[in-house]
Amino acid sequence: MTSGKSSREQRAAKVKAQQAAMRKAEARRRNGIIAGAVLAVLVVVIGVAALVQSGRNSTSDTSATPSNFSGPGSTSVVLGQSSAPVTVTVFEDFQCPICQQFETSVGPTLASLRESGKVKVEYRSIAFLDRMSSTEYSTRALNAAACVRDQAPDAFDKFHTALFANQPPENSAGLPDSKLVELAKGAGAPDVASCITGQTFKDWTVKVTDAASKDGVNGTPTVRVNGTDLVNPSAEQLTAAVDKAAKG
Amino acid sequence: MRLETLLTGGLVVLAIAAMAFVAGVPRGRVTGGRLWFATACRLVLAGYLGVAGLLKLPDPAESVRAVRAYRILPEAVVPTVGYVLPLLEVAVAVLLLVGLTTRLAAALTSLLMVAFVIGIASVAARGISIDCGCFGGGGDVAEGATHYTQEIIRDVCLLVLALLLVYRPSSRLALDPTQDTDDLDLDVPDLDDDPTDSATTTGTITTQENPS
Repeated sequence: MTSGKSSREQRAAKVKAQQAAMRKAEARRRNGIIAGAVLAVLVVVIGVAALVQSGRNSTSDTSATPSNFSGPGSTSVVLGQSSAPVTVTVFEDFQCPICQQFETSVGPTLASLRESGKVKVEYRSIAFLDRMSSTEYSTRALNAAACVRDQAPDAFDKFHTALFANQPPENSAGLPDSKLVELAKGAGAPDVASCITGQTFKDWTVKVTDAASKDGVNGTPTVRVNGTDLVNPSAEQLTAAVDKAAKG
Repeated sequence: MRLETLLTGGLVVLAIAAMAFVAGVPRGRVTGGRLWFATACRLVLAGYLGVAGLLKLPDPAESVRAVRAYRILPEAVVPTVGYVLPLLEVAVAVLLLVGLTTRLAAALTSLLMVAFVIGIASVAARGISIDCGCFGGGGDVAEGATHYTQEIIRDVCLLVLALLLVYRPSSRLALDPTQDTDDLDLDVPDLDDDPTDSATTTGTITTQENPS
């Protein structure tokens, strides 16, 4: 009797356990299917969205390139005598405050080194600080510099200086296009208004910024003397590096 | 900066609470408190990932440059990672927000956090000064202007919360149908385990055995 009852209970318990195991297995299977489906949707959605994002970041091959720029991809403005033994490359963003400081403290030294024929300066202006203004000033200023160089090559030097002298504060609306046109006129480029307001070289600004990033520029100002990086150099450090490069 | 410190402080408290839940709550005891705590973990993770992803989406080029600034990945994969990472963050944030496939979403979050910690620790160890680009931005910053320690603490705390959800994904306010099947069934195999329940069973057997 006792054994019969207990075996009946054992059987009942066994059935119960089996049912629980089945429920568990069923739930596992269902969860697995849901997870698989979600994962598949995730892969597809992210894949498509990534293509959209890369499309937003690409520029058409037929986009306008300003003339009077040098280097592969027309990235740089070279100032000074081509026979100069040392090349100083300067990567700057017109919205970058440290670049403005660099222009104030080291700019004159760089200019005199250039005039003495010791160095040629390769300006590679880029635009990666659009988030620092409400109007993408970084891009608009670089486009304006390209317009000036394109139409009045000799005015670039003065315009470059004027842009840093008139640099708008961070997180402001930046300079309006009308002010950029005015500065360009003052530098000696009278006919760039439509180029500036129409952002003729906007795609080009994306290309040169991308090219600088690929060349290892992760911030501005980046200064290179014959290809060797100088981290935010003082006038003395720059002069010393130029002298060393001229000897070597 | 002050806000970030405050948020990270809150995260540390939450992560400690998460570890206490794992260590202190006996297995099988599914309390409402634990389910609500899991919901809080989900929402905090969703908040961080969602904000981080959404801030990066408007400027894919910047996102690519931020990845490049770590100087870890080969150039061939840098753009892909730059495009995919913000999207993955947003997608996982949505899953966590609604509580769909919580365990999968939490596992992906854990992988992301491990990758972020390795990345930040790596640039710190190499003496490179960058903005982590965690919430947009990125690129080099002046020496001494980095926040590596705080960033690593934050990501480790987020990792702890994510791992808790991998371990126990059930939570309140979730779309997941797992609530009553997944770890409730795993942890409470049968009602017979309940001491009060087995006492009555024994009682019945005793009374039935007496006549025979």
